[in-house]
Amino acid sequence: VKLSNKIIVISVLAGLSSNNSFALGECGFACCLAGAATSGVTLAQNFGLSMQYESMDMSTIRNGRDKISPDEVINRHWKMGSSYSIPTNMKMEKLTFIGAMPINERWQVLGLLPYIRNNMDMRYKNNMGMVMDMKMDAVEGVGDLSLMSLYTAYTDAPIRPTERLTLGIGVKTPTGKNNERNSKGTLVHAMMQTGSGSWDGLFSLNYMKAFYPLVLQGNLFYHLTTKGKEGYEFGDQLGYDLSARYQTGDYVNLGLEINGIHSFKDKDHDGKFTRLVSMPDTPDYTGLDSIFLSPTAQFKIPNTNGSIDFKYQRPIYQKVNGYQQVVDSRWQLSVTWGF
Amino acid sequence: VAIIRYLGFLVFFLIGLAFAEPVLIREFSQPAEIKPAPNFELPDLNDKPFSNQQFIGKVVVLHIWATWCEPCRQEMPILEQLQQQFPHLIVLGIAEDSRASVEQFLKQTPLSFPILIDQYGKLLRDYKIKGFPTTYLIDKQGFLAYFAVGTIDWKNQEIINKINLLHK
Repeated sequence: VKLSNKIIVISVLAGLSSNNSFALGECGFACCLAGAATSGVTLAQNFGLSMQYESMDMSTIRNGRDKISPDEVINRHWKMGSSYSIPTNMKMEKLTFIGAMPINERWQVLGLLPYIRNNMDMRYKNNMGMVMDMKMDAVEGVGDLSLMSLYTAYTDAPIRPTERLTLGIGVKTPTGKNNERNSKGTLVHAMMQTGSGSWDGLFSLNYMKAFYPLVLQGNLFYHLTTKGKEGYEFGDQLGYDLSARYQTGDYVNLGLEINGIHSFKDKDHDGKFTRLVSMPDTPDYTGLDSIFLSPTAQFKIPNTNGSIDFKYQRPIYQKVNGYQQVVDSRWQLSVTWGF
Repeated sequence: VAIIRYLGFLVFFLIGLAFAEPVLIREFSQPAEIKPAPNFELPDLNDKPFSNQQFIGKVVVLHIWATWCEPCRQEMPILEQLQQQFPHLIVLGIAEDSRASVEQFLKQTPLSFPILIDQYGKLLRDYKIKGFPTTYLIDKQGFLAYFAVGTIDWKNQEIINKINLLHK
């Protein structure tokens, strides 16, 4: 949950920063409509709204870098007289509403509110050695609201800049529920909850260099986590992205990104979420390194301040602590409108 | 044969489009409300600051442009002619562009009037600019008198009359 929250913030930052490649440089033969909010983070005159849908599929389990089958994980952990459970398939969906409001020509405030729906299928081997597949009830609801302010530390031009540095600082608030329980009254896995229950710090740095029609960007993002209300603390996360976008026409940008994530281990301070007979409830089995390769496409809706973005992510490197289920693919579709 | 005919038509259409003259604006619009021009202080390419306040008592042509806007590029030499024709006018070019791009443009198209750099887009916001080029005529009292979005026909008598009227 927290991972995808962070990815949304990053993609919003990247998206806002990269919109400048649309800056209608090759204007028509009448007059050039600036297309205010779609021309970049420094240009939104009033406010911008975005709706982003994200779907993430997870079925592969890794031990370190190696892929391992669910049955092998069970065999390695199960002991006679005890049970063991693992996730076999997980699907996380998120619909995020994002609002962006400029304070002045250099400051902008963003608000991100996600609605989350998480599904998980599990395999369970009981103390008698019987193996069963189960489907968990979906966990859904409003997630954690994040507020972020962006500061243009440097730009060489307000529209269609060739160089720009943007800094960001923000907070993730605990608006999502983090004490959802299943029908047996047990707390649902921490990663399945719609919120983390914690107040976290968000820090970002984005550098853009353009050689129009090619725009290159580098992003750094740090998510500083704290202990949640139920005593669970997700590990800090460092995100790093490199992206290249090419403006193929007045209305289409195509791009390729490399998105890296380093996650530190979680801590369950009060032990409420720890169950060593369940793989996803073992805090030692958290923390990972992932690198994704992500083709992107952006379409500007002609004669409007709207655009549609699509992004598809495939992992090219994954290394986990212990045994963890990892992301197999993720895609995002967003519609952005400037007012 | 039909395909060749359509292709021929398309080629002629595209050639025509490439050589099409911009639609020139022959009339200024008046702002919805009469109000003073938002204040600005911007540097020129030599970092000399220019403020709208220093031009109170004079008619100002405030021209907001960028080098990546082709109609803007075409209009700049015409604005230079206007400045030569009416030396009493204060013509200010506000570049929503990088300093390097403007410097390169001025090497090819020298201009005698100041070009100010709106690096972070403050004027762009304060004047709520929606298109390029945008031109404001500011009267002697510092009020926004007229504006136009698009390329202006500066030789049109109506336009000249408006400038002269403001000057009186």
